[in-house]
Formats: sequence, structure tokens, C-alpha cells
Amino acid sequence: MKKFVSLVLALMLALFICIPAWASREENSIVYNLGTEPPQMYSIKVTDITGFQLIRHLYTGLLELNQDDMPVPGVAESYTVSEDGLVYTFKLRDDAKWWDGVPVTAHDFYYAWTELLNPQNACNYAQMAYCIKNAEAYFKGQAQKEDLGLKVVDELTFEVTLEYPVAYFPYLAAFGVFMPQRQDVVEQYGEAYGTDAGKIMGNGAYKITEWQHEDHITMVKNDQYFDQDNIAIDKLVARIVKDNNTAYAMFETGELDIVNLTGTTSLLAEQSGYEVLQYSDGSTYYLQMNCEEGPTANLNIRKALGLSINRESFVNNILRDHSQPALTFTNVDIKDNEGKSFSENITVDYQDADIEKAREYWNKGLEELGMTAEEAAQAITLVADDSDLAKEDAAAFQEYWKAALGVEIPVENMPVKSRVQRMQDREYSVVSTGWGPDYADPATFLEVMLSDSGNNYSGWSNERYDELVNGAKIETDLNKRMDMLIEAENILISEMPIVPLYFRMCDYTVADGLQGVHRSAFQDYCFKWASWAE
Amino acid sequence: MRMARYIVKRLLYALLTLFALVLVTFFLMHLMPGDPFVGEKARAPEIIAAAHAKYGLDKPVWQQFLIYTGNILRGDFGESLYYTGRNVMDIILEAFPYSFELGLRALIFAVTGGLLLGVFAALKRGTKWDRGAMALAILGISVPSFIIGYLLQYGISIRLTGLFKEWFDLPRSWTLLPVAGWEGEAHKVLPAFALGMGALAAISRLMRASMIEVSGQDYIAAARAKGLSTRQIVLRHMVRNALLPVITVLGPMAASILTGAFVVENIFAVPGLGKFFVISVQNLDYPMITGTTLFYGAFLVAATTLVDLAYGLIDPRIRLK
Amino acid sequence: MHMEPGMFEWVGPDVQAGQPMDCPPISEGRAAFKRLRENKLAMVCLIFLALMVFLSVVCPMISGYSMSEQHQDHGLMPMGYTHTETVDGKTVRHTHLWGTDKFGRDLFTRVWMGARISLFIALAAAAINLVLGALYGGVAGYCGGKVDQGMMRLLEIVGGIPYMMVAILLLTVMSPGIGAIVLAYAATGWMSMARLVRGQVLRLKESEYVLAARAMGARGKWILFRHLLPNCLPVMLVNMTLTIPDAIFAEAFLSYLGLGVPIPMASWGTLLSDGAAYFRTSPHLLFLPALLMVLTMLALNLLGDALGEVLDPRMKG
Repeated sequence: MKKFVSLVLALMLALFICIPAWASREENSIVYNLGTEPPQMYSIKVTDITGFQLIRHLYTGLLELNQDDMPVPGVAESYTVSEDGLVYTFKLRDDAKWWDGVPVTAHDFYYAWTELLNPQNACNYAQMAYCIKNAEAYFKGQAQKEDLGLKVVDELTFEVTLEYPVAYFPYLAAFGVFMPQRQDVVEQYGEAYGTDAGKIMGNGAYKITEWQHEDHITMVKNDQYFDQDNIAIDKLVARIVKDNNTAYAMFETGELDIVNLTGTTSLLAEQSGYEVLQYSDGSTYYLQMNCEEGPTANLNIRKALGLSINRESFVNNILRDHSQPALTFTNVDIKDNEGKSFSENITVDYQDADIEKAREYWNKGLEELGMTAEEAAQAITLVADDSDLAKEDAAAFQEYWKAALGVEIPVENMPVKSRVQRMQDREYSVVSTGWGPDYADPATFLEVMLSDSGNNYSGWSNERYDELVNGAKIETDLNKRMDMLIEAENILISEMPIVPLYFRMCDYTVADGLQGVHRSAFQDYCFKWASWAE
Repeated sequence: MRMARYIVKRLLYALLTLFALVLVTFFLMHLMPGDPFVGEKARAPEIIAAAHAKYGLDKPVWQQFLIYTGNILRGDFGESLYYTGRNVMDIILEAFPYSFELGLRALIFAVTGGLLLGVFAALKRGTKWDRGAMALAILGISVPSFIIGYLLQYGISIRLTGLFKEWFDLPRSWTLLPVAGWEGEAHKVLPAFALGMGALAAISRLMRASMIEVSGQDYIAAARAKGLSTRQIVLRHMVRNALLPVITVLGPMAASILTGAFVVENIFAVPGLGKFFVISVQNLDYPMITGTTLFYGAFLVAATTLVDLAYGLIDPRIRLK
Repeated sequence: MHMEPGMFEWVGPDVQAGQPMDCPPISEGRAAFKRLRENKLAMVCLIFLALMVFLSVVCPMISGYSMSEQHQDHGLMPMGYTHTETVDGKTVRHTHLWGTDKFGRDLFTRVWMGARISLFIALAAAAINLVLGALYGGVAGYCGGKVDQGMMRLLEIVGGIPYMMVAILLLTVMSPGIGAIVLAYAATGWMSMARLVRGQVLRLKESEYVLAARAMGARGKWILFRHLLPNCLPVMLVNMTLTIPDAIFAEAFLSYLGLGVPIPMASWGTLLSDGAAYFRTSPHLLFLPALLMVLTMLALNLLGDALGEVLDPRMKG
């Protein structure tokens, strides 16, 4: 018996206590965390942030963003704009090559851009290309591919004609969905293109060599890349670790070189003496109110709910990162014409956590509705995501309202898809959500709240607001345009279909010796300028 | 011959089971609120309509169900709605081996450890050894696997590794046992341990109770009277008979270890099927949800069938009918 | 000695000796309870559990804080933290015996509130499991044949859906809440009990005492409820003591996956999964609820063992 026992014990030991791993890491590589896996990486179909992040490593567009997030030449060595601002002519460099050495030509851009607008592909980001001549008509089946304002002048010249002048077009030319694609490779894999390491072709600084789904993606430096001499890092490993605590622990043990910090992990990082870095991801988080149905259709109730929130405390005690309390919708990092923050121009007639006023509005609102506080509270629901962080946020809001208004407002947490459905069906009163900019202009925020915008789930509609924001689209006098946008946001803030909460700052830390990692609202994770100190 | 007929019969039942399983999952899943194609940023209605048409979601649910079952019978599990362009079966077959290996390691660990501990405690009944073993087992049941996971990561991968690094001046990337991931042998130790701990404790308790029950049976007394050695009695009579109740729970236990791995897979970042299931539910990836449930279901049915067969082999008193 | 009939005489019935036993006949249950009362450890566990239930009801009432009340300016404070602040010229002082969580909510209140909710979930789930499982498994095992086959097939159909998946699907369809969690667990948790009881009954029904009972003309229902199920009790109880932590864990796992009790409620599951995230900076957030939970489990398990021994005299050491 004893022998038997010891034999099995020894076997178990052999099975489970193994030789320690002497993980040897290659020189000049960066291991970082994606958090979630991109569902697929066919650039025209990508919609998620992690997808665009990888596209940035794997592709180079006509233009690319520099360290100040300004568009600079990429595959196009130069471009000209016609005087009316409608025709862009890109001159491509002759040494840009795909991973397999085939030269990148104007045809590759033509193919990708027409595929983006091809109604059969039903690309979610097709709308971004609507500024191209006849794009919307083609996407809706009312025009032919030939009618599009896209033209291959010769192998190395690509001409784009716009429907109306767009000041931020160079930003678009650097954006993920406008990357080139190789027709032969895309057609070879069909639906499966962009779903595995071997089934994708790119022209960027890195090429993908391994994609183990939901685990990691390995990218190595592209030896065909035209600017390869300026790329210091030879290999990127993007891990997919969802749990923040796990990711932080991996950073501590050297299994990750960069880690995002939230709540508990930022505390830990501070205690351990790591340098906490941050960047603004440009997004504004806010509460959206249902202005069509229920108590929140009443302006005073909306104001009461909005003024009860203690943003200062929320940012310091709940988020515990470097986010900033927000009283405007447009993110503080978006600039006006004079280069100062757009949000400084906005008149906000209330303060953070103005409890007294909140109570006044609440009572006034209840009177107008003819409801008791209890009835109103039961008719209001806060709808939020079901992630741990979203739940924490919701618990805090719920308590602010309870403390200020004396009523407990029910919270329903649910997966994103269900939440969006509820927003579409207007089956909510208040929803906690956020908006990230697509380009650096107040319009990217303000257009959300247009009456006919698909993203305006509040049902709020204001004629003057629509007039101003739509007018700003075609207004060529930049100062006048800015004034229109400022007036629009003033209306938005006083009507309160949305209650701004905070401008998000993302905290993170990097391993000792790793420098030049670029993170910003428009280029989260760019390793072009990164290197390890000797 | 009777055995063969029995197996064929079981197989037929298994198919019926799986059909019911698909039925339940299919309709439950369509009850979930939301649309697989809505996203944070609004999509044009025509885009969503086109996607619905492409994946046949514009038809009534019962029609979708019939089409789906028809496709399954032809071996086509459909294309994932979330991981667009990838076949559901390919995803499952890529992810399942990780879950399976993790589950198997945890199960082997739990069964060997649990049986040994249980037999040991039963034989030492009433002594401090027994109490010690059972205290350990109770502790194992009382602490959820994610807590065990976090503690292991902290204690071994961070603190102990840190100490080793300090003492021996090791490079930054050296780890005793890595925090997370699924690459080498070293990565697999902690997750298997965290996952198997609860089952180990459960098995050891059940085994102990069962052993004690068996030891009171007349045939043990008879065996003892026959003059068999303790070793023979324990191995040949007690353990074999005591295994019975343990084996009944083994099938469901294997399944619960496999599915319970959701949480452990998350903590240790194992790219297993559990992770895919959770993601598919959150994204309303219908073919993935039914695909994974069906796959797990088939696995579970196979496991219970095997257990029932084993049951018959071990206890001849149970007749196969 | 030679005996003859004449040596004996009829003395009539001995009234004294013919009396029934001097103690009233005691039912099995009462005897078991008597034996249980003699088991000191079991009584300690019972008292502890009763105390837990009592405290979980009383503590949140007397703590002076509500489950959701937040003091965000002193979140993540250690045990015994006292806070003094001046509001409107008056000095307000309050003490957080077990410290506070991230929101500055009183942990003492939340842990006991969590105990209340978790114990309720566990007991409700275990009770449903026990009744459903015993009935289902007992009937299937006893009837055998076609009935057994049919019932086992049905069990497999329901059991074919792995538990976690059912729970996740159910909780996504229903809105998460205590009732939904109990339902999600009860929908599948009874099956292992049913299997276990069936296995035992199949085995036991071949034994001599069942044969004897049958020979004496006992009917099926009698045999099942008086002989088979009581004899399965030890195994059932051991299984039930495993069911209770199972139910609490299921709740904890679901909390970890984001499907636990809705905010601002607390259960041991949500407290543990929240505390686990903070245990390196504020260990008490994890250890206090964990300690209570482990002690409760310990008491439940020891009590289960003791019950097993008490209810099955053969198992008496």
C-alpha cells in the first residue's frame, strides 16, 4: 500500500510540478496586451479599436500620422489639392512593397476603396467615405462603380474627387479602412481573408507570422518595408489577456512590457513605484437620456439627474485614474480655430455636484409630471454594460442620485448588444455610454446628436441645433463655422439630452528601458518610434 | 452481443438528446434581447438588413431552426457572426484542445489526488491524519477556483518568483511558473491546479464516505474472516466497491470541470472554448452558441455513457437492460 | 435432570413482562436527533450556523449603514477605520468596523448582507435539489426498466446542456437577480443528486432487507420511502453538503462572469470577486468575506458528516 501510494504521488508530482520555465525573450521585441481579439482583420471591414490598432502595424496608407498625430506622407510621397478643395492627387512612392515584394500601386488603393463602398460587402465604416463623389449613391445602389470619384491615373498616381470639400480628408487617408488591398490575395481567400496569419497581405512596417486565436498574434519586421531602417523593434507580440489583474501580474513578472492600469492596478503600480503614464483617448463618457418617453422626457428631471452627479469624486475615487471631470460633450483635447480647447468656449450654467439646484429641478420636474418621487424613480431605469467597470460606475451614479434626490433608481446591466438594442427601442431612461472621435474636430461629437443621426438614441431633436451642425458641414468660413458649432454645443448643454461625465485618460506603464511608445486618441499603440535603451 | 445492442441503443438516445439540446439552446438564445449586428457606433439599417439576409436571420425562428438542423445533419455548423469568415467547427476544433487538455490535467489531478486522500482518510479514520486530510478537503471545497487562481498567481508567480530573482539575480523575464498563457509545461501547472482543486476535495470526501460505508458491509467481515490481508481487502474489496458512488459523479464532474474552466481560462488567459462561449453569448453569435453547446453536450453524453458502461463492469449486480 | 409435564403448571399471562417496552417506541428521526445531540461537534456546527443566520439578519440592521451607502472620500480603508468630519458646524464621527470598499461602503454591513443573500440562495437551491433529486432518482431507480430508461433519458436531455451554459443563457434572457440565480442553479443542480440516488437505489433494492420487506407484502411506495430513500440519506447528505458550496460558488462564478446579483446588492460571490481584484492593496476586502464563507462551509460539511453517521448507525465508528 505504501509503495503504491508513493508511486502515484511521485507520478503526480512529475505531472504537475514541472521544471521552471526559463523563458528567454528575444532581443528587441515588445510584448503587449490587446485585451480583446479583433474578430477579423480585412481592413475595410474592421470596426473595433484593437483591429485598427493592428492595421496600423500591418498597413501603411497613402498618408500616415506622425508623432503629433498630423497626417504626413506614407505610401504617397506627396499630394496636391485642387483650388476648390475637391480633387486630391496622390503621387505614390515607387519603393513601397507588399510583404511578398510586389510593388504597391494605385490599383491597390482603388480596389480597397471601391470594395469599402461596395454594397455587397456591407462595410460598417462605408459612411466614412461618403465624402467621395457619388459614394453614397453607389453604396445605396443608385450609381455605378465607374461613377465614383476615384481614378487610377497611372500605376503611381491616384486621384480622388470629393462630393464637397472636407478639411479633414488627409486624416481619412491615414485611417484604417482606407488602407490598400491586394485584389488577387483577397479573392484567393474570399470570406476567409483576414482571419488567419496566412490569409492576409499587408504593406506595413510589420507582417503577421502567427495568429493563435484568443491567445496571441505575432508580428515581425517587414523586410520589404520602405522605411525599415527607422524601425527599431524587430518583433511584436500582441497577447490577448482580458483580465486586468492578470495582465498586471504578467507585467510584474516581465511577461508583458506594457500594461494598461485601471482602478486597483493603478494603485498597485503607484505603490510599486512604476512611472504611471497617461494619454487621452479623446473620448467623452456621458449619460444619454431618453427624451421621448418616461420622466426623462422632462427637462427638469434631466437636469436634476445631471446635476446630482459628483464628477470630481467619481474620477478620483471610482475611476482612480487621470480622467478629467467633463461638463461639455466635445472632448477637451479637441481644438478650436485659435488652437485653444473647444470646450472652453462653451457656456455651462451649472457646476459639478450642484445638489441644491438638483433638488430644486427634481421637485419642479415632479410637479410638472404630477408624479411622486417614488413613482418617478420606478419609472426611470439606468441601463449600463455588464463589465465590472461599468457596474462600478453604475453603482456610483445610483448612489449620487440616492444621496441627492432620496430615491433608488433601478439599474440594469446587460451585454453591449442588448444595451444598444434597448437604446434603439428607447426602452431606457438613462444609459451610460461614451463617444470617441473619428477625427480631430468638434463635428465628430456634435454630429452624433443630430435629429437624424443613427447614434442619437435620445430621441432629442432641436431644429436650431440641426440647422447649425448641418450648416457647419458646408460652411467654408472657418471662423463662422466654429461659431456655429459653439452655439450648437451651447444648446446641447442647456437642453441636456446628454450629461457629460468625464474625458477619459488612459493610464499605463511600460517596462524599464522601453522608450518611444506612442499612444494617443488617434494612434493607440504605435511602435514606429519605440526602442529599448541600451 | 447484448453489449453491442446496448451501445447502439445508447447512441440512438444520444442523438435524441442532442436534438433536444439544440432545440432548447436555439430558442433560448433567440429569446436573448439584442441583434448580433448592432454595434456601439450606429450602422445603417440597410447594412444590418443585408447582414440578416446573408445569414438567414430574416426568416422566422422556426424556419431558421429547421435550416440549422438540416445543416448540422450535413455536418455544416455555419459561419460565425462575430468572427466573420470563420467556420464555427474550425473555431471549436482549434479552441477545444486547450480546454480539453486543461480539463484532463485537472481531472487526472483531482481523481488521483482525491481517491488517494479519500482512501487514506478512511483508513486512518478518527485519527489526526483523517482530520487533517478532511480539513484540507473542506478548505478545497470552500475556496472558489478564481480565488485559488489569484492566490497562486500572487504567491508563486509574483512573490516567490520575485524572491528567487532577488536571491539569484535572475533576468527580468525569468519566472518560476508563469502568471498566464498556455505555451509550455510550466504554463499549465497553476491553471490545472486551480481548476482541479475543488473536484479533488469533492472526490476525496465522497470516497472517504463511501469507503467507510463499504467497510461496514458483511462481505468485508467475511473477507477478513477468510484471512485475507488488509492490503487485499482494501484494494480488492473496499476500494472497488467504494468507487461506485464516486464513478456516478465522475461524468457530470468531468463536464463541470470542462465548463467550469470558463473562469480559470479567463484568469490564466488560456485560449480555450470557454472563453469563446462567453464571447459568443455576449455578441449574440448564434451559430457559435449552438455550436459550442452542442459540442459540449455531445461530449457530456459520451462521458455519461462511458460512466454507465464502467458502472456495469464494476458492479455486476447492475444489469444492462 | 429429567423433566415431566407435571413439573410445569400454567400461571397465566405475565402482565408485567408482557407490557410494551418501558420507553415509548421512538421514531427513527427522533432517535437520530438524539444521537445528533450527543455529538458535540455537530452541535457546535449547528449552533454556529444558527448564529450565522441570526447575525446575517441582525448585523445589517444594527450596523448603522445601509448596504449601498457610499462615502467616496474614504474608500478602501482598513479595518477599524474611524472618520471624523464637520458637517454644518457639527462634528460627525463614524466608525467602519471592517473598513470600507472602493466606494466607501461599510464592509461589515455588506459582508453580513452578502451572507444573508448567499445563504438564502444556497439553501433555496439545495432544498430544491434535494427534493427533486431524491424523488426523481428514487423513482427511476426503484421502478427500473422502461421507466428508469425513460427518466434517465430525460435527465440526460436536461443534463446534456452543461450547467454554466444554461446559467449564462438563462441569466442573459432573464434579468439577473436572486430568483433568477436560484432558478438557473436549480434547473440543473438536482441532476447529480438524482443520478446518485438512482445509483444507490439500484444497488440497495437488491439487498436482503428489501427482499424481506417485499416478502412481507410491502408495496413500492412504502419500500421506496421507508427503506430505500432513508438508506440513501447518508450519501444524499454528503452530496447535499457539497451542493451548498456548489450553489454559493455557482453564484460566485456567475458574479465573476458579470451575472451575479444586481447592484447595489452584495453576495459572498460578488464580494469575493470584487475583493479578489483588490486583495493586494486591501486584503481585508477578500479575506473577511472569504473567512466567513470558509467557516460556514466548514460547519456545513462537518454537520453533514455528523448527520451521515447519525442517520446510518452502520457507519458508527
